[in-house]
Amino acid sequence: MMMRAGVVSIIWCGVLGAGLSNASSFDLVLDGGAKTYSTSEYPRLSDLGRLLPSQVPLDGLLWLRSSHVQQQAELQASCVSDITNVGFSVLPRDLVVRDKEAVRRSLLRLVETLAPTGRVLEYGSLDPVDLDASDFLDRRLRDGDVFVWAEKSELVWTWDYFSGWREQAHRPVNSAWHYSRGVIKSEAVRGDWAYVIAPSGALHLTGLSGHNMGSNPIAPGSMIFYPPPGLGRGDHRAYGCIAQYLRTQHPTLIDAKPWWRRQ
Amino acid sequence: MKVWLILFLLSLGLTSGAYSSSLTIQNDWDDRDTYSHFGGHGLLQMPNARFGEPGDFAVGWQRIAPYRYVTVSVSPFPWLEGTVRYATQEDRAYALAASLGVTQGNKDKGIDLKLRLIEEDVWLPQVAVGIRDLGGTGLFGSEYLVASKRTGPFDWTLGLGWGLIGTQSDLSNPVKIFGTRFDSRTAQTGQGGTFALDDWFAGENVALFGGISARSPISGLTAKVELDGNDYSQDASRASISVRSRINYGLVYRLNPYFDLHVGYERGNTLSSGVSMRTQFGRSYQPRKRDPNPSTLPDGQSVDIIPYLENDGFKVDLIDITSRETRLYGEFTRYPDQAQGLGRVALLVAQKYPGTDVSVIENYYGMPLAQWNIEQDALERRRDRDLDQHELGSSIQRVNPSSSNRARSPERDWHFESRIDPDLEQGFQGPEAPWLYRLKLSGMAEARFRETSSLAAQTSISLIDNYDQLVTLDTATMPPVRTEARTYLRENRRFSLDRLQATHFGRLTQSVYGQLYAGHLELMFTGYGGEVVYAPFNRPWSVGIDLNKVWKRDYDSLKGVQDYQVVTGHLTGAYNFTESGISVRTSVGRYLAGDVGLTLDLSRRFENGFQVGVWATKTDVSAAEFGEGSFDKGAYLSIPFDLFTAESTRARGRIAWRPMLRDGGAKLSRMFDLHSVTRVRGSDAMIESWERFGQ
Repeated sequence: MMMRAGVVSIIWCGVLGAGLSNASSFDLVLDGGAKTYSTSEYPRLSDLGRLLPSQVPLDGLLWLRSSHVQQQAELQASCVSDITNVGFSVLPRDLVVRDKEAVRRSLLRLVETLAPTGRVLEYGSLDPVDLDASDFLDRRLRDGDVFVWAEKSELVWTWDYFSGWREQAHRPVNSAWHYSRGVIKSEAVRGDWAYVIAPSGALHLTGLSGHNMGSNPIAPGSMIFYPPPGLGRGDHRAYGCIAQYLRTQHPTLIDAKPWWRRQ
Repeated sequence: MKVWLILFLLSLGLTSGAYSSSLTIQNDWDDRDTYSHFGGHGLLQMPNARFGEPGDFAVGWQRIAPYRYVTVSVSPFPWLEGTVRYATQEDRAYALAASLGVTQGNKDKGIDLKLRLIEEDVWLPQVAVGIRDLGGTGLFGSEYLVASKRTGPFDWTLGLGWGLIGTQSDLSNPVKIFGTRFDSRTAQTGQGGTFALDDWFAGENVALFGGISARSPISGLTAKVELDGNDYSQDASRASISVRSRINYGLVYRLNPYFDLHVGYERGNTLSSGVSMRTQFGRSYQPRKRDPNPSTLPDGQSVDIIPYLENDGFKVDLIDITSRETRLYGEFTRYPDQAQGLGRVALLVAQKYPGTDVSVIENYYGMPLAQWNIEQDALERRRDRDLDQHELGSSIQRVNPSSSNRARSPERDWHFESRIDPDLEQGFQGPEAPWLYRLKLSGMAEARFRETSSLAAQTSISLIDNYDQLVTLDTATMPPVRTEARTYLRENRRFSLDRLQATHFGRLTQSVYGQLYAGHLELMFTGYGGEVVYAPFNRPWSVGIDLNKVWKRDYDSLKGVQDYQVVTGHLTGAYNFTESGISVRTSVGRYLAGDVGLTLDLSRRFENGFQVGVWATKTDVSAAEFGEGSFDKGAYLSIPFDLFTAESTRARGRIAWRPMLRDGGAKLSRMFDLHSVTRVRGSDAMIESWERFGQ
């Protein structure tokens, strides 16, 4: 994995062959400058928080674990299946879309080009205080665990059928509807729902239309997925699946800039 | 009958905990749609096409002279809303109450249903069809087709009304093109309770109705204007109603997430007022702050583990230790989430007997229902917090326990248990009084022998009640198996021996469970019987049969039996749709009055355990012979008590509503139901989240 500009990658590597109870050491690589720590055993998440240099904020850390990759690959396959099986829609908005297969292909491309990352989503916080309060969440780290520090972004990433992935400058008062205006030019095909994935992986379905308009501001660093017209309602199961899969992603985890060009 | 407790707790807003869903709908309409006078979402008198979220539950009280309405509305699905309504006519005496010397306004019960046909989107309005007073006496009988479209703060509604809300007769009935049966309404519902199918959407004319619901700039305040489809010329209280305008105006103020206050100016001359109390049972959740921390054994091999296991919600039948495996038999008693209870006991056992795999066999009265196999390595890694949720789930095996697993503890042949709980038994809108209550102490004592045999007694002692007002209504047209319930309640109001029952349970094969029982099986019947249920493992269905010979008990629960006896029993099938939470149960057989027929029960269970359901029974007795209501039917809510407490519990409260207690379609109220007992063998395994394993 390459680092993106402005992003510091932290790599955890246990000593090969070290047992759980044996002394081991691990490296934190910060902007290329390695620091080595020795511990009697593999540290826990809360230890990590205490060991990190103060300039690394905990709420910017993404935890990647190889054992989660397979699970996410299954989710990805499930999404592909759902998209493939989306049927014909007779909603008025969908009838204006002629090439429904092109819409379907764009969704498949969106999902298939994003490889499973192994991002661990079970935790709302890596703050040692929170982890101390929850026995189960304060996991022991393993060989191969990777923490990526995603520097706080002032961008919002959007995906829609017409523009694909786009970066937009974050504005504190903008809702999902405001960001959609920058990429979907026609009201007729805007749709009424958007999925907002916060940098933490939290997912919300928000309204874009007159009947369900949500004006909640979007956090900087969020991704917004606008379901395309042509294949049915925006809260359809296939779109929900795509949104869930996008939770496992993060702009920082993509190794090229601008990352939408990988499509 | 913990209604008041629940309502009290609701009023305190104790269900405000957020539901930890990974996907929530986020919009600005936190002041969700409001309710109409008739219960159910709507404008003032008129309905609209809005629905609550699944699990929405509301109790409403509204007054617009000469009517008062008490309503209960539930949305089991986003496309379905049901309302039960009691209407009081202040200008007309309740004849039955008057015959008892009690002055009350006339009472009318009704059920409304609304079904979504089209869900709103960018271009389309939301469209719904509904029926008011479905199966009631037809006092408010109406049908409607309605569309609602929201634009910003305005919600626009336009509809067509038939029946009472079609009496403005704006248009010729468009449905008449489908046949002459739609030409006129008979408005005859006889005993009530029947579906007046011939009247639905029938009539010479229909009325237009509609209106606007506007969110005001003042937070929580909604203004409503509506065009009424009812001209009140056909109302039961038409003599007391004058109409100066067809336009009604109203304001709804959302006091807090649980209370709406309503005021209105209607018919051009009448003020209305009301209150709605609502909650979201489908998402209610309380943090379990008062749960004890998971137990840890003190050092030393001589420590008795059983008290620790019971402290962690597991009643131990037997612990069987081999060199490779420790097997624990017993019943989970506290945590609704199986993962939580299983984790606590498995980690304790692993601490006490290190180096062995752990099997937990869930028993019910000594009958093994399900077995969880957990490898030692998984427990050690869990203890070391080195397992993620999906790894934990996949490392635990759930299997059908073998028949030889039937366990009993030789040291614990006899086991005694007793408890006393306060209980409020109550009924509303009876002819004797609007509220009949009995605050009582309920006692339960049980002696178990070798876990599979039980002798149980249930009694109650009244603390305060007004059951002396109960009057036996001489309305029986069949053997009086239930219509004399008031006599039993009155005669036993001081002390009641509700049950005295001996039961023996047995697992007959790998998938067949049975029970035999004898004694006072319920307050009104004594006798003997048995039940056999086939419940295949990891399947969503079960089928079984029960057969009983019963005698009607004396009105005094401490005396013997009356002459009436009957053989009653049912063939029952149950199916649980795991993903949607929908359960279907149907039974065919002979009922207490000797009538033969079928019962259908449909329910939906939400993730937090809240359940809403309806049932209906149709037997070979005619509507006339059955009496008021025409056939037995009702609705129920089953509410986990831990929605209101900060402590985990498997206790549940059940609130059932039956419009009329009659003799037809009456079932024996048995103490144990093996379909419910074997539910844990189903495909969902009652696991909510592996994250709670051992928490």
